[in-house]
This record gives sequence, structure tokens and C-alpha cells, in this order.
Amino acid sequence: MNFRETLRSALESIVSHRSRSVLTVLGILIGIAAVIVTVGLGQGSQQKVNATISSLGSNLLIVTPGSTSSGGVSRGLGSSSTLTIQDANALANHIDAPDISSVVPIVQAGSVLQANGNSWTAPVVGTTTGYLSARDRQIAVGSFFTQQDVTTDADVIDIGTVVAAQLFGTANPVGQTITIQNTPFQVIGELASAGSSATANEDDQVFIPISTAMTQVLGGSNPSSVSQILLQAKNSSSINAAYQEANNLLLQTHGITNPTAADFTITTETQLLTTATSVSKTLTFLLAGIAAVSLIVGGIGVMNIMLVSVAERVKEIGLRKALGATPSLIRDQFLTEALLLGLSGGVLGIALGVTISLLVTHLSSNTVILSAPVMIASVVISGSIGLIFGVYPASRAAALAPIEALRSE
Amino acid sequence: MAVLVPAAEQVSKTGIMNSVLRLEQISKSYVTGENRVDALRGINLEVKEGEFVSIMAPSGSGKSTLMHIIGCLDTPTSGRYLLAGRDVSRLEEAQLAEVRNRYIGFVFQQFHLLTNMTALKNVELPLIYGKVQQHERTRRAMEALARVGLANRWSHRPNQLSGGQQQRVAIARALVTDPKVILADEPTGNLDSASSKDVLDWLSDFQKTGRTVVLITHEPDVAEYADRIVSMRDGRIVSDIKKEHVKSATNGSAVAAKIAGELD
Ligand SMILES: Nc1ncnc2c1ncn2[C@@H]1O[C@H](COP(=O)(O)OP(=O)(O)OP(=O)(O)O)[C@@H](O)[C@H]1O
Ligand SMILES: [Mg+2]
Repeated sequence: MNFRETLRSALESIVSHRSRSVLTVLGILIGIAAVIVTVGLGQGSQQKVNATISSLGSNLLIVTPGSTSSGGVSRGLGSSSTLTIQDANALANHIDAPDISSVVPIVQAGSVLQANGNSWTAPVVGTTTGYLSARDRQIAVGSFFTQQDVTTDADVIDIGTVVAAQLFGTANPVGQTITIQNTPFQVIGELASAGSSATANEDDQVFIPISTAMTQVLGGSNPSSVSQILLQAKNSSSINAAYQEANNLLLQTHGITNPTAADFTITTETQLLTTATSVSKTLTFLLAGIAAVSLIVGGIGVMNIMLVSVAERVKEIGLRKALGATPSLIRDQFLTEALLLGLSGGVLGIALGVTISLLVTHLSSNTVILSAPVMIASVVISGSIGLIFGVYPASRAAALAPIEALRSE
Repeated sequence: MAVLVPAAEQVSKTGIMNSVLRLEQISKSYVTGENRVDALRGINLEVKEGEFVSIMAPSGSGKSTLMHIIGCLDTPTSGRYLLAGRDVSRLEEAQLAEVRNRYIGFVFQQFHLLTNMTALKNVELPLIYGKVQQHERTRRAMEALARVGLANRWSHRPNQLSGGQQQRVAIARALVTDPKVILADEPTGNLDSASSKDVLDWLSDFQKTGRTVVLITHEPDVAEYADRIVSMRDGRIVSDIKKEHVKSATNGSAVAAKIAGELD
């Protein structure tokens, strides 16, 4: 009896017990569908997180005041910052920090913006010309302020799309005037939207030269303090070197000898990625656990029905043996049947999982990623479950003595 | 897989001429808990090629047990059994399966056809296990069905056939591998007298092609079809009469009836 015969006889047996077969594979079907949807959801949210983080800019390191060990997460403006414009200047030294290609200090505070009788409250960001490339942003209309503007404390402003819409509607904002704390600023450019993947609304911001911000708008208790410093590493492979250089320089300028007592924190993009992925990994593991449980339950279902099937077919087994079927042929026949049951559960499960995924993507803001490796793995897993849980019933069938089997009525 | 030496070659080695079945001191005991049932107690039996032997005995005397051993469905507790000259009393299950497939055709009282298959597929079954190719299989199965007069019913399932027709399908299935021996255990037990006669005629026909038939029954008229009647009682052979002797008596069936009467 060759493989084709075994396969055909297993198929015939499954088809002739159609409704029972469907019930048998229900557990595996649900398990596989759960795997497809949950892994797809996990990958979807991970992709979203990655997109968000990479939208922050390329090869980016962010220096923020306060230490991680002190637990200070909120670093509101006006609180005395340990990070200053002098730190930024020190980091910009290409001899001490050869792997840092650009340094962009940022001061930031919310303020009321007024124009054409409209007013709107938005974060005012004081920065330098390197901001655009560090944050990977583009200008849509007009231009960004220049180094000249920074040196001369010019009263010029670039605005985000949300601010533009709020203050000027659909009109071209370039050439208009916005008043911040009684100082009129000339609008010289509008930034292109940061895209929907951003977490905070980066389109609801305005940008002015850092010198102007420090002297005229945001004069805090310490006029030289900054809220963060963006550093760009030369390339992606020099991120670690840039991190070391920045860390050493800042410890040195702050006169700190014990690195654990640092009053600043340097975050890299990869660190953010790791945090985000570890969160979504936990979720994926949890969902995978649920899927695994339902697959095991499904496997036990297959075993159960296979045992029933063996018991029902004791006479058939006896007859086949009398006619010359060897124990291993009988075993193969039932194993094939279990394998086919598992596989069909897997295939139906994939179909259900894909349907649910498409519905979820369609009806909610979640993206479900359907990947070929997951589907291939699903087929392999469901087949293996069928095989593994078929071993016991199949060997029971193979071990039946032919006369016992023939005698049973 | 064991390679079976053709009977003819074995014959010269063992010196047993024409012997298809040879049972030497075969015993079979069933032990269930405290109880021990000696179903067969030292059976000695030799059946030659081309013989039609009836084994006749009342219920419970060990007929089926003997048939299971002759059919290699079970192994004896002690004794030696030579099938076509080869000792098969101590073989493994897988080897026994191959011996059954090659040498023996079974006909059972309950027909034992697979209900979810057509008559043709049922007849093909032993050929599948004999590793015959699909095309050849179908041809031989159709031929066997034609021999029992059921060629036009090949696509019918067992529940679409009468009891007599089902038993004829079973006979076709037994014939299809061209076995050395046909073993029939109460083949007419579930049939009316007309169908019974049919079935017994098919078995006689098979014998006329030079094959061996062992028929197990407790009915004297059925045993009468054979040319040798072996009677059993309590696991022992109590008489073994050749047809010549049966025929020389004034009334053949009277002898069989007399044997049966003595046994009861
Ligand atoms: N598996 C078994 N376990 C225990 N005892 C058994 C078993 N099979 C048969 N026997 C016993 O062996 C004896 C012979 O049984 P067997 O079936 O061979 O009789 P039989 O001649 O075929 O009877 P019948 O005409 O009723 O079919 C009986 O006493 C029976 O109870
Ligand atoms: Mg019996």
C-alpha cells in the first residue's frame, strides 16, 4: 500500500464523517486563527511604533536634563535645568566629539500666539538651523530661519500646519505677523506635516531662533538653560561612539566624577526602539500563550475523536489486518488521517484569521500584518499537532489483535 | 519483509508431499484471570493440496479458534504449524500479515465487507496490501466479481446488495489474490438455503481449480459438500472421514448426520 493509497483512504474517511471532522478540527481552527490575528496585530503595532520612533530623525541622540535614576520624568520648562547652552557649545567641539556631526539645542514653552485677531496656544520652540535635519522635517512654504537670524536675534518665525490653519485658515501664512508676548514676529515659512505616525502633535508648534527665544520670549530663572539638546551621530554605526563622547564631555563640564550621579540623560533611538518592542513583545507573548493553549486543547480534541474513530472501526481494522495490512500500515493510515485533520484545521484557521485581520484593519485604526512566515508556521504547527496527538490513537489501532477486532460486533 | 520460499521448493526439503497445511500437536489456551480455557488440545491435522475439508463440531468446541490459527490470525500456545511447508507458528505480526495476504482467502459468517466502499473497492483491498498496481488491481477485481456473477454490481455498496450477494462479493475478495487456501468459517450461517447452495457451489468450483478449501460448520448438510469431514469435540479431533468412505455408505448425508448425532 503506497502513500497515495494511504492518503486517499484517510481522505475518504474524513470526508465520510464530514460534520464530525469539522467539529474535531474546531479547536485547531480557532487556535490558528488566533495566532494569525494576534501575531498580525503585534507586528502591526510594532511597525507603528518603529515608524513613530524613526520619524524622530535619523541617528539621533537626545540629551535631557535630570538623571534616570532620580526618576524625574517630567521636566517642565521653568524648573531650573541642569542643561545649558554652554553644554551645547561644548558638544559642538569637533575635536572632543568627532562622532557628533551636529548639535541642536532646544528651549521650549507654551505661549499664546496672536494674528489677525485670532489667538491660539501652542508650544514655542527655540532652536538652531540644524533642527530640520535632526528631526527629519521639511519646509512646505517659504524658508526656515538662517544662521544669520540666530546671530542677530531676528524676530522671525516658522509655523506648523495646525498653527497655520488655526491662525490664517487657508491663506498663505508667509509674510504675515504673529505676536508673542507683545513681540511681533514675521512668518517666513510653514513646515510640512510631520505625518500621522507622530505621537505628540508636532504640527502644532512654532519655531523661532534660540537666541530670540532666550532673550525675548522665555526668560526663565536661568536664562542659559535649555530643555533638551539633539545630537546627530555621523552615521548609524557611530551612534555608540557619539554617546560615549557626549557622556564624557557632559560629565566633565558638569564636574561630575561618578557616572551614576549624572544630572543628564542621553537617550538613543535604539533605546527607544528596544523599550517599545519589549512592550509589544510582552503583548505578543501573552497572546501567543493563549493561542498555544487553544492549540493544545485542539490537539486533545483530535486525539479524542481519533480514539472514537479507532473504537468505531475495530471491525474494519481487524478485516484489513486479516486481508494483509501490517500493523505499521494501520498506524500510518490513522496517522495520516490525524495529520490531514490537523492540516485542514490549520488551513481553515488561516482563512478565518485572514478574514478577521482584514475586518480589524478595515473597521479599526489597528493594522494587522499578514506575513507568509506566520502562515507557513501555522500550517506546520497544525500538521504537527495532528501528528503528535494522532500517535496514541494510531498505535492503539496498530496494536489491535486481528481476531479481537473481527470478533467485536 | 520476509521473502517466502515457494511451496514446491519447501516440499522437497521437508519431504511433505503436497501438504498445504500441517498442524502438529497444536494447543491453544485462553487465560482470563483465574480461569483457563483449553480451546484446542493437541490437534494433528494435515490437509493436502486440492482437498475440500469440512471441520464440523458443535458450538464451543474450538472451530473458530482452529480457523484463526490456520488463517494465521492467531498463534498457538504450543505445537508447530506448517503452511505451504513453512513454520508460521512463531512469526511476528507483520510477517503473519504478509503470509495471510499471500496464502489465505477468508470467507466469514458476517461477510465483513467495508460498508463505505463499493463492491469493487472491497474486492481490491487484499490486492492493495499485496502491492498490486492500481490498473492491474481493478482488472483482477473485476475478473473476480465476474467469476461470482456480480460484474454488473461492481459499483454497489454492501447495503445495496442481498446477503447472498454480499457473501459472493466476500468470496470474490477471497479469490482475487489467487490464494493457496480458502478458509470459510460458517459461510452460510447467515444465508437462506438457495444462497447457501450458491456459496457452497462457488467453493466447490474453487476446489476444482486445484485449490484447497477448509470449511468450518456445525451443519451436517453443509459439511456434506466437502470430500473429507473432520469432527471435533472439546478441542480434540474425534473423527476424520474421507468422502470415498462416506460415499460407500448407503446414504452419504446419513453418515454426516450420524457423526453429528454422536457429537451432540
Ligand atoms: N478470546 C477468548 N478468551 C477466552 N476464551 C475463549 C476465547 N475465544 C474462545 N474462547 C473459548 O474457547 C472455546 C472454543 O471457542 P470457539 O470460538 O473456537 O468455538 P466454536 O467451535 O467456534 O463455537 P461456535 O460454533 O459457537 O462459533 C470456547 O469455550 C470459548 O469460550
Ligand atoms: Mg465459531
